[in-house]
Amino acid sequence: MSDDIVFDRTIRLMQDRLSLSSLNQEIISSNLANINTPRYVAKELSFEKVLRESLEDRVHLATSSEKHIDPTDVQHAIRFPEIAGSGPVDLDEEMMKLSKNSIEYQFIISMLNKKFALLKHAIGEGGM
Amino acid sequence: MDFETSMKISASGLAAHRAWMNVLSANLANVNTTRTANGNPYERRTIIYETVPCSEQFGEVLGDALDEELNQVHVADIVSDGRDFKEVYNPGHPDADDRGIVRMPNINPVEEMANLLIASRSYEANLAALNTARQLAVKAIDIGK
Repeated sequence: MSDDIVFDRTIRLMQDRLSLSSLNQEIISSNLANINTPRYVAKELSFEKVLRESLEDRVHLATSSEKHIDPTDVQHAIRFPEIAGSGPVDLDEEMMKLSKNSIEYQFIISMLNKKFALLKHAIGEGGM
Repeated sequence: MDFETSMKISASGLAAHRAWMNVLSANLANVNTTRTANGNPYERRTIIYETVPCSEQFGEVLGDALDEELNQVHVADIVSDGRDFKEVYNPGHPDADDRGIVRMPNINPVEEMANLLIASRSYEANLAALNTARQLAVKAIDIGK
């Protein structure tokens, strides 16, 4: 994956994160739809924690030990998410995840718009 | 992986819980019904849910791993409850037998009301998920504006 000048890694990463949020929304919907189904096991994205930790310093991610997360692994994790079972559906937890996911999604869209605004600014030599 | 799928899943949850509310309403409405088509008093009905994978939308996009993980809910069956009828001594009742005993449906209104609350809250939860998906889909239109 080569780094483009205009549409760089940040945009691609945000794009992947958006589709991930959208997948998460589907998982939460699925859990809520099956809240009264006997023997249904609640699902969740299994790698979210690892992803979050690595995204925090995603831009300067350096590996000084082989135990560190490899940046390419993170991108792989975003593109090929795994879904794991986590026990019976907890209504409060699902509603909490629902709001959180919604805020995250809207936040990333704001960030994406900021990024595009910067690009537009650069194109217009700051005059626009 | 789009919001349409998410909405479809929520819609299945809404339909399933509305079906449950209909069954509960029927139980409550027939709490004193002593005559049905088969000659017995009304039998309490219970709803059975099952999960249905919504795989057809995901097959090509995400590969096999996620196929069976996202589930819609589906009303598998509405069955008669197996519990015995209540026997009430009421010789004045037209359906009383020789000993003056009337067989009544074994429905506990409190139990039905509690179930109605569960169904209603679950319906609301699915509605919230549906509204969030809609809100996010609208937000996605704003990208680049």
